[in-house]
Amino acid sequence: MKTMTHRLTDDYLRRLDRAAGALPRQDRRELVADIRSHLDALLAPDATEADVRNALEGLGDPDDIVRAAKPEPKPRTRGAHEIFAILFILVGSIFLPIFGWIIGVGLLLSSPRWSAGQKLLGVLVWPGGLFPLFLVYSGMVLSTSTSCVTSSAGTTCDGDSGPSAWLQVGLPVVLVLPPILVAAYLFRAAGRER
Amino acid sequence: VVLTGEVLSQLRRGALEYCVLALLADAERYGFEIVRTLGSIDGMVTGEGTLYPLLSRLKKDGFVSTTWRDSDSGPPRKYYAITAEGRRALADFTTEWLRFRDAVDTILRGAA
Repeated sequence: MKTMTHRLTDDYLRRLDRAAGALPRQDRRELVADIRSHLDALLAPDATEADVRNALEGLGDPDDIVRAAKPEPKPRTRGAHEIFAILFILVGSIFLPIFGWIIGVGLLLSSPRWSAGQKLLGVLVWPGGLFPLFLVYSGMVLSTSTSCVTSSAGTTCDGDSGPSAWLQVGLPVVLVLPPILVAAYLFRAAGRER
Repeated sequence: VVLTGEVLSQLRRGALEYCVLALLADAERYGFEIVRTLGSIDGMVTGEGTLYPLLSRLKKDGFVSTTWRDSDSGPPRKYYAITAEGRRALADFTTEWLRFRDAVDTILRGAA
């Protein structure tokens, strides 16, 4: 009978040790030692096989014990997925007109890190990200240069036909600020625990 | 039914470490003692063995400290004691738990 109880506890501890193979070495050793001393404290030297079986059943399955020892899965935090989503929405269209933005929106919508409202915000504020600004700005440069007439008397520019000073400064600010602010907001929101 | 089991096991898992801290609030105890005490309460623990990893985690988090002490019978025993940080965590949890419990009770009574 004695050999049987030893065989059962040894077998249990061996299964536990094998199941704990994925744990850090120190944790694995400590866990097996803790369970071993639990069995030592619980079982008298003359314990019957029934006692041993009850003790082992009380401890539970080795796999369950090891599962409890594994660190709980951390909530997924902001990763490459989220950073690329923001980048593509913001400037993707400059390199891949329209498509860059669409890729960004796809990444935005498929990320688990943002709520439905935050995704809507990301899609609404950016019809093309910074691409409109890019267009407007090149348009301004173009219109400025064509409004200047070069003649033998020198270069004269028609002040009224070029964009006004307000537009030159105000329009870029209006176009740039919301996307940048929303990008910053989404970046922070993706990094928060949910 | 599966959902209820899942919710209950999450709840149990979350509350269990504070039950361990509460057991240690007035005296240090050795592992076997903690495990047997919690294991003897119906509905508290599913497998007693899972409490040892929990004790290790509490130690890593700085909520308990351990000391080996000689025993009159058998090999030395590892004793667990609550730390100041553990006491703070226990106090915070106790406050939140009571609020949460009362809130759930209020709703459940209304539905019954």
